Amino acid sequence: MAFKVMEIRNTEENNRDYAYRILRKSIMMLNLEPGEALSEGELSEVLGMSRTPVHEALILLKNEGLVDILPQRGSKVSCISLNQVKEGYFMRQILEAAIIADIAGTLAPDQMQLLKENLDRQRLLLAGEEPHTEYFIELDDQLHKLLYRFSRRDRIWTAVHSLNSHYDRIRYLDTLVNTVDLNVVLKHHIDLYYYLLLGIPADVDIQKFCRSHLGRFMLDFQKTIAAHPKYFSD
Amino acid sequence: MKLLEKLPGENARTYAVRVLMDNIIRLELAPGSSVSENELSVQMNLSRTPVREALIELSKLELVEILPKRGSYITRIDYDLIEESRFMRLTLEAAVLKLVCAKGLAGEYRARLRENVSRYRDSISGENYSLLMELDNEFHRLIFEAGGKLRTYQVVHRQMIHFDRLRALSLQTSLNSKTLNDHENILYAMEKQDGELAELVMTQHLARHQVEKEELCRRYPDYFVFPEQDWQTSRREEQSNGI
Repeated sequence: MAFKVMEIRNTEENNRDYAYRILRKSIMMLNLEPGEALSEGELSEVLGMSRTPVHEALILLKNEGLVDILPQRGSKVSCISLNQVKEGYFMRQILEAAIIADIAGTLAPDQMQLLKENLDRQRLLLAGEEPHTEYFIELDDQLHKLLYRFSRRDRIWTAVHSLNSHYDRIRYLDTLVNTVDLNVVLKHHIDLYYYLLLGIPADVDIQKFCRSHLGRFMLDFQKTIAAHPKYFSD
Repeated sequence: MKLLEKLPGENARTYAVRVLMDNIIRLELAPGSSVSENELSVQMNLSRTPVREALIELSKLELVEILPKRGSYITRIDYDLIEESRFMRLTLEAAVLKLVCAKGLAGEYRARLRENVSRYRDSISGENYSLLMELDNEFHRLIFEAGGKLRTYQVVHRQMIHFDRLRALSLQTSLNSKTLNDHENILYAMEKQDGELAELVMTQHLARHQVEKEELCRRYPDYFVFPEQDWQTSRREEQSNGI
């Protein structure tokens, strides 16, 4: 298991929440690969805690479809299911189009400011020399999450996230395998910023916008699968 | 508390989650009441670990609140939560309805939906609320299934539990009599492949609870979370009415 703990524990976090956060991130960033076996014993050693909180964290991950727990045979990271990817994409593009339509042109200055700060960080990151895919995706998620929050629908983000873990993994894989130009993604985000600021222009079909923004992975998904056939289950 | 049959191969935790959820939704475990890990494990004849794991899972769904050193409580019904669920469900279900209307309702699903509607019609007088809720759920699940979006249904369904408690309450209070009529109309629109009509009826269907809100809050004040302001307003009204 190529599993290391890179992150410091938050003070308010208990063992289970910490284990959950670290494991989830490792799976999402493919440091724990789809199909890889997970041993509770090893994990608890690396994380420096007893097995019970590790076990509980694995249960939470199982509920999100990120871990398969096989009775008597231990656990493994789930493979990416294309059906789950498709449905995760369906849910997000439908919901986000509705949310954007709902809040566009109605946001308060401090909310616009938060969006702007996020975009500035994206811009800065892409202008720099450092490797940035992982951090960019984090900012990308934060930006989208703000849309749910500004429409007072944080829970929908959380619920969708539970099905979206497969979509998120293929999106990350797509970015790596197909060396996606993140400047195009940034350009979409800037367009979105102006829709939110001024309202959606009459000639913009917001559903189409969401479909193409969130559906980038579909353009090259055959190459993605060919590069890592073992990662996929259907 | 009502126990359920254990499913073949079901482990203790999954069983505990299912039993607790069922009892919470049917209000057998009342909103606001306290639950003890000990008592639950005796009642369900399970050890404490799976019960504790089940409570943790339910706390993620905001059906249970775990207060360190003070025990666990069934959460009260929160209209803000319901509004969020409703938005999610309506948005997604309307999209799926349009998909189904565009490609046509397959014969198999047409038959199953018709069967569902006629069973609902026959069951109304029996006042078997669990059955009516099951049939209602099945009707909506069939729509998602017909659109090839069953996983989406599962996510929506999980989020709908807050809404479900309200449905249980309104069924038991016999306020809601429109369900059958709405289902008939939605099915009609799907058969006619009229996406616009389907969406319109679905929107009405999922907004019915707003009408009953006031009456339910008045009859069961302990079951609901009142936003600070509303609560104060209703207190003032009560006082000015001399209650």
